[in-house]
Amino acid sequence: MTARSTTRPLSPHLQHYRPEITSILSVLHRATGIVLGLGAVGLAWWITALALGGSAQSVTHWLLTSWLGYLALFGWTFALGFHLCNGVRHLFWDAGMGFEMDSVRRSGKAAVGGALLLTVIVWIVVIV
Amino acid sequence: MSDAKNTDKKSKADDAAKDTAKNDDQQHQNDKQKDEIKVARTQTDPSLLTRLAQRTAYRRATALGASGTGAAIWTVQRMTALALIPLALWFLVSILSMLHAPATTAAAWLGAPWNAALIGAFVLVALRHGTIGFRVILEDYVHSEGWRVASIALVYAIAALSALATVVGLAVLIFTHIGG
Repeated sequence: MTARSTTRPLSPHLQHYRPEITSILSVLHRATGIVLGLGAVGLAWWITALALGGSAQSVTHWLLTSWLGYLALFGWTFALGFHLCNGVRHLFWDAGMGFEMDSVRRSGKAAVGGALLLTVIVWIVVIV
Repeated sequence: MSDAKNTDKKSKADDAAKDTAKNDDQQHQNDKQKDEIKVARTQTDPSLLTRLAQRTAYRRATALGASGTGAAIWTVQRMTALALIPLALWFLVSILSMLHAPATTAAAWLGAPWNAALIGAFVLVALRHGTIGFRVILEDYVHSEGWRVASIALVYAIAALSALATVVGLAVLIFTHIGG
């Protein structure tokens, strides 16, 4: 029982498949999901720091507005944009739509395009 | 030649007769089995029922395997995803444009009840959505059951603490905003 459960391969066995836009975006959906999860905890910390005031507030603000903070926020924005667009793609699949291979590829490219567009728009607004 | 044919026919007829006999016998066997199943269904061994119930309760408690709750979690993941679409867009528009502002402006902005309510909804729904996703990933890649359960528990604990911090923090900011 234990021998079987430790030796049998688990399902997403990525290294055996040739990467394609479909699989890359599937992996990217999970990766951006992880980034967003960490970001949600960071957001909870930001709110807590603002409520605490004092040094917690100033250190957090200094960290967020440092170049590292901006880089993290930029990455987080792209992660949110992609996970949002690709999530909408997933919701269409859940509704039984868009399963043809060429439409899967097209919607994948659209999700990447939408994510880039959203990131650029948001950061133009931030910088200007 | 004709004799041989006749015997052939005869043997075939015999076989057919045997077959029907066999079929009858089979039919009889089937009926008997059905009766037994009926009896078993009406007079189920109560200990079997208890064991089945316990097994279901155990699966439910550990939430591993077919515990009967997977479909509900699937729905929660989709519903939170739908709710997060407008919340995330609102968040992107309103929060990131405040990066230039000093921290005290951000605190005052979060203290406005509508902003606090929306950002609270965003964080809490995102944490619920995220725990489902993290759990699926851990279930896929963490091979040992002990580490799998431990890591999922850690994710849930961090999410719970973050939710608590968000709610308390927003409450403090609202009261400061109203009082100040």
